[in-house]
Amino acid sequence: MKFLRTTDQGRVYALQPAELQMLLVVLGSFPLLNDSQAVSKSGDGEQLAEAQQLLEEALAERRQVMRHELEQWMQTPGRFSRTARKIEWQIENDRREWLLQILNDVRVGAWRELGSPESLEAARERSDEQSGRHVALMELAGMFQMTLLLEDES
Amino acid sequence: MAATDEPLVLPEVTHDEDTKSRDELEPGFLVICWNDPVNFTQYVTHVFQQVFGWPKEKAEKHMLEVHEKGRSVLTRESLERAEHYVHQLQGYALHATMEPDR
Repeated sequence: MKFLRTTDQGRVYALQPAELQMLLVVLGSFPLLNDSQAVSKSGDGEQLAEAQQLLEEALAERRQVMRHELEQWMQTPGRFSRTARKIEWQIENDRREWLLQILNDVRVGAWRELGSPESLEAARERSDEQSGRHVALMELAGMFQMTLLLEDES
Repeated sequence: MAATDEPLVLPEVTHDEDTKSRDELEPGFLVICWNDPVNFTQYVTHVFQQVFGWPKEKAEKHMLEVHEKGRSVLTRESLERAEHYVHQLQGYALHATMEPDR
């Protein structure tokens, strides 16, 4: 994936056909996080129990809305345009944050599915199929995410 | 007119045992971000900038604190504001919690 140009609406990236397939797998996995972290490590009591419930409901609802938006967004005409050698992917400026959140949900969700390992290297060495899938999702989501982030910094 | 030298009688100052500081009346919550091995440092900096509106230098300082010390206290807020920030940060899939500031 490579940044191509800016337009009035946003930015255009070039994808190789294989990268498009990988992107579709990554985005198709969203949401991979299906719960929230604890709202507090040390606090207890009624206030924090309520806060925990609110957080879980809010995040679950948000992911559902984002999933629906993502499906619509991917179907937008002109989202992907094929040229002879590459596919151009258009991302509107007001969708960049949203997309970063989606990609990071998949990255962190895949890591959690791996058992939240402290060492990513050890996770990469696992050979079973399920772990391999989650390692691949984590790495691919990270690759797309970093391309968007580094473009922001350039 | 000349001033007279009448003795001043000061009111007795008593300590109100029920008086509490503002912090006691409004217990605050620390919003803390915890380290994990999966979130990219650039992403964490970016999220702090977005959520708190911080300049990059301040966001990077907190990101480094998370990375090197395992956690960073991002802000102290009321319950509602702390909840708001934790929702935002967890929406970005960062490990953030709110802890009572005792």
